[in-house]
Amino acid sequence: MKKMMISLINLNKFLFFFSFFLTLSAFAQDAIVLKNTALFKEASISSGSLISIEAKKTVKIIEKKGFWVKIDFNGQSGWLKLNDIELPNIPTNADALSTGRTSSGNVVNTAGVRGLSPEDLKNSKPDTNAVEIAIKNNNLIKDADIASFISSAGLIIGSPDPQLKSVKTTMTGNVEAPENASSNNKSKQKNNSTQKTKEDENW
Amino acid sequence: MKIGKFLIGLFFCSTSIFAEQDLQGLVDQLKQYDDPKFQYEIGYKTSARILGSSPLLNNPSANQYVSLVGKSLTKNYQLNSYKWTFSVIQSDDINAFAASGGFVFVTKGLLKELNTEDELAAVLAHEIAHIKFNHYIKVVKKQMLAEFTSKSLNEKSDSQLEAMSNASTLLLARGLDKQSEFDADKEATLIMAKSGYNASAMADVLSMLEKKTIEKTQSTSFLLTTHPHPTQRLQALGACCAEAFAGEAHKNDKTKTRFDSSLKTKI
Repeated sequence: MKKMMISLINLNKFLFFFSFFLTLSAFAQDAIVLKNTALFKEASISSGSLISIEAKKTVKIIEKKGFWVKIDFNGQSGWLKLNDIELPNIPTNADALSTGRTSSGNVVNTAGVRGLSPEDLKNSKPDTNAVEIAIKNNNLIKDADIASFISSAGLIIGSPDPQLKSVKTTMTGNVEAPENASSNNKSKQKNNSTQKTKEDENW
Repeated sequence: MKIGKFLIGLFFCSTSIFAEQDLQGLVDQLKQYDDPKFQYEIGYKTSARILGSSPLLNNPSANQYVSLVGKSLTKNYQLNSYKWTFSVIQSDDINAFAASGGFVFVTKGLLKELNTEDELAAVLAHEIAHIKFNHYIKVVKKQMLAEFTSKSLNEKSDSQLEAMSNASTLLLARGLDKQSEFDADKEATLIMAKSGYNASAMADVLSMLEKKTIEKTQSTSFLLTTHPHPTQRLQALGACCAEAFAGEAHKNDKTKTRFDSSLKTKI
């Protein structure tokens, strides 16, 4: 019996370290470089480039920051833009968790943690009183409060869209067409790199 | 236009099955869905269900701060027609919800994981984008059209509202399609930039969610069943927006103090 207990404990230890190792190794992911690109010193274009990396090379991801990814390439570390690499797939156990949620099994019930499952939402009873309180709380905030909240942090009140026009043209996919879109979008796209820097300064 | 064609087609092939008044009822109903007041009512009822599953957080300072960030994002001509209601709910899960008409909910669990006001703005802007794009109403509308082909609609508008808000709540539990989520991420960066927030915080939030996915924390399980994988979202966001926003990222130190005093130390 004692032996069995010890072997169980050992198994638990092994599983613990094994999962720990898996977690750690998951952070050190490999990614594929999508196109010939420069490796930057810092997470900004103005930081200057270190070396150039060819398309299809494998790099190791060290960390992510905004639209930048810090990588290691043959011992040289530096930053690549998020759109220049293909991120590795990370498996999710969401399915197992969502199905196991109400039944038990793969979900550890942590005391004091109030989760919220799809079932909770589906089976919920409407609380209109709470909605009224939420609305009332929001109505307490006046336009002047918002204005001072915005200005005290140097934010912008309802910046008009034209300022963002060149940003929108660099975006792909079905984001709405820019308001007052002009016919010189194409030429704007060509000059984008210079415009971007200017706009970034404005923001 | 597409709906118009669909209805004409439907009319011709269904005259023998459905009474003409049913079709008229459907047309009226579809018009109603585009009415901001009706959308607000659906959102109101959906919000009641959200709050029925997780109560409001009793923390006036955190609530006020979240509302102020949300209202700062919506202070522009495209978004100021809604009556925005931003709230924090008690759930320890990492999640946020939107209901039509301008209702946005963020969980206490998610607030705990955020590091800057820009990141909070990213979360709220994503939900604002769902409302701006009318994502929930569009799906519910489709469902009602599909239902029309299987049964006639003779119910009163009151129960229709009930049915709509129920469908909208179920949609929150089931999730939208992937493209709607990618679009909301993308639009969020624009909404943020328009208000002077650092759009790259959207990528930071997705990286945080990715990290949570790797750690396999239970708190993201609901979010992961209703949204595309954070890595996919990050890749899609990079593809559309990295070139536009990978310039010099500005750091706003002015928001740090109020973020720390309203959320970090009090949640």
